[in-house]
Amino acid sequence: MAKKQYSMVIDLHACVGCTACDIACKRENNVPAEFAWSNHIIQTEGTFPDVKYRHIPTMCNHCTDAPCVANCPTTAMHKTEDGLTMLDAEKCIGCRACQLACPYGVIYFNEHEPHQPLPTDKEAVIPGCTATIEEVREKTGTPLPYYNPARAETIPGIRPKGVAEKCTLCDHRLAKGDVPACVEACPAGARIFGDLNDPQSAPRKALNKHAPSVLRPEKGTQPNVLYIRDF
Amino acid sequence: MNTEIIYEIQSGPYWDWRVALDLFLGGAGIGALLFAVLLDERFKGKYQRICRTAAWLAPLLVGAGLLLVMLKMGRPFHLFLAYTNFNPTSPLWWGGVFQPLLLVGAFVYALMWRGDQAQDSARTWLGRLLAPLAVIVGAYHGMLLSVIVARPLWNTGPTVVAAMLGFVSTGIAVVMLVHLIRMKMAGRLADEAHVAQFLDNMRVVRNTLFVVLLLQLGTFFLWWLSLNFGALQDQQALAAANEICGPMFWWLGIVVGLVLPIALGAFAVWRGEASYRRLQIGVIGLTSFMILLGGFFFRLAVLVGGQQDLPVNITF
Repeated sequence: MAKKQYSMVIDLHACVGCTACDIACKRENNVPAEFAWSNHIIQTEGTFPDVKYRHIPTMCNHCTDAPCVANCPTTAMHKTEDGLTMLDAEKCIGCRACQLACPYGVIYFNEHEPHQPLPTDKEAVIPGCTATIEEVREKTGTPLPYYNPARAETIPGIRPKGVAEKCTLCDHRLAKGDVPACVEACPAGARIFGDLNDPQSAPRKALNKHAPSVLRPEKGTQPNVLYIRDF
Repeated sequence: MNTEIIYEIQSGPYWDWRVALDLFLGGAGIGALLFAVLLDERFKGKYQRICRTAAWLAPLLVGAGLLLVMLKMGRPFHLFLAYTNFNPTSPLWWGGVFQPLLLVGAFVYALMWRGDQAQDSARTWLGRLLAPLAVIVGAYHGMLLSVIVARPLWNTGPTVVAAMLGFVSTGIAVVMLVHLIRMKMAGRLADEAHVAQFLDNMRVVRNTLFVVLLLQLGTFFLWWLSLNFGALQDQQALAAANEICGPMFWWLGIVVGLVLPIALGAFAVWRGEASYRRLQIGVIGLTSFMILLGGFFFRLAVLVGGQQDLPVNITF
C-alpha cells in the first residue's frame, strides 16, 4: 500500500454545477482552452415535470490499478508514493496508449503546439487604460498572458507538442501543503480532499458517513475519485 | 425515459491508418519471416527461391510498419527510452524493444540468402534465433489492442487469436504474391514443368493457408458472438463500430479477405490441378491479393471502429 493515498471525494448533493473547479484548474495548470483536466458530465433525464438533472465533475481518477500506467511503454505514466498517477513529460513518446487505455477520457494529447493561436491582440481594449496582451507578456516575462509560473515547479509549465497531459491533483500545491486548486475554488465545499489512508482525514470521514460510488466500476481500475450522495 | 448525456472529451481516433498499416505490414513481415525459417528448416534449402523472397520481404515489411508507427508518435526519437525503462505490462514496450531488434536480425538473415548456397548452418541458426523473436513481436501486435480494457471491441480473447492467424495468412499471401510476380518477371510462369513443380511444392503451404483462413472465419464469428450477446458496453461498441466501419469490415475484411479466398481455394481444389495449372496459378495470385487487401481493411476497420466514442454509462 502507498504511504499516502491522496483521494478526492465529491459530494454530488453539495455540488451546484458552477464549474468553478474547471476554471480554477485551467488557470492553475495553464491548461489549453480545448482541454479540460477538470471536466464534467451533464445528464438530463425525463420529460417535464418529471425530470432529473445531474452534474458530475470528472477528472483523472488517479486509479490504484491505472490502465494508463500499465500500457505506457516508457513508464512516463507512473504511480507516486502518494498514490498520484503522474506523467513524466520527458519520457513521454506521444504514442497515446494512455489515452486509449483510460476508460474515463481524462487524458489529453498535444497534437499541435499548445495554446495556439496565442492571443496577440495589438490594441488595448481601453486605450490608455488597459494593457495589450503583448504588453502583459512583456511585463510578466511569461509565454502566455495568463501563465502561472508555479505550475512549472514539478512538470513543464506548458506541456510541449507531442506529449500527453492530465490532472496531477496540483502536486505542486500539495508539495507546499496546499489543496488542489479545484478544491480551493469550490464554493460549496463539494470537493473533499485528503489522504485516504489517514483515518482522521476529511475524505475518510466522509466515506464513513456515506457509501461511495465510482465511475465505471466494471473496469476494475480502483479509482481514487469517489462520489457520495448522488440524488 | 429520455436521457441525454453530455461529456466533451478529446475526440479520436487517437490511432489512425498508420497504426493499422503497422499492424498489417508488421504482421505480414513476421509471417513471411516464419515462412522462410520454417521452409528452410523443414526442407533444408530445397526451396531457395521462395525462401529468399520471404526472407527479403520480412525486414522490408517490418521496417515499413515500424517507420509508419513512428510517424504517428508525438516524439518518435524518444522510442529508445523503451530500452532504459522496463514496463512489461505494456505491449508497446515489447514492441518498442523487440521490433527494432527483429528488424536488424531479419535484415541480416535476408543478406545471408544471397548467393546460391542451398544450405548454410549460420543462416539456419540465425533463423532459429529469430523465430521466437518473431513470435514475441507477433504477440505484441496481437495483444496491442486486446489488452486495452477501455475499448470493449478490442478487449476480447478472439481479437488476439484473429490477429495471430492474420499474421500467418497475410505472411503466406504476401510471399506467394511477390514470388508469383518474380516468376512472371523471370519468365518462369511460361515453363509448364516449372509451374507444375511450383504447384506441387506449394501444396502444403496452400493447404495450411486454407485451414488458417477457415480458422480465422470461425474466430471472427466467435468474436461477433461475444460482442453481440455480451454486456451492454460490448453491444454498444459493436453497434458504434458497425455504424462507421461496418461496410469496410464486412465487405472488404470478411467477404474479400476471407470468404472469397476460401471459396476460390475450394473451387481450385475441386477442379483438380493437373489440367488446370494456369487456373491454379491465377487462383493463388488472386486469393493472395484478396487476403492482403482484406487483411489491411480488417485491421483498419477494427482499429478505427474500436475508437468510436461510446455512450457514457453512468454506472453509479
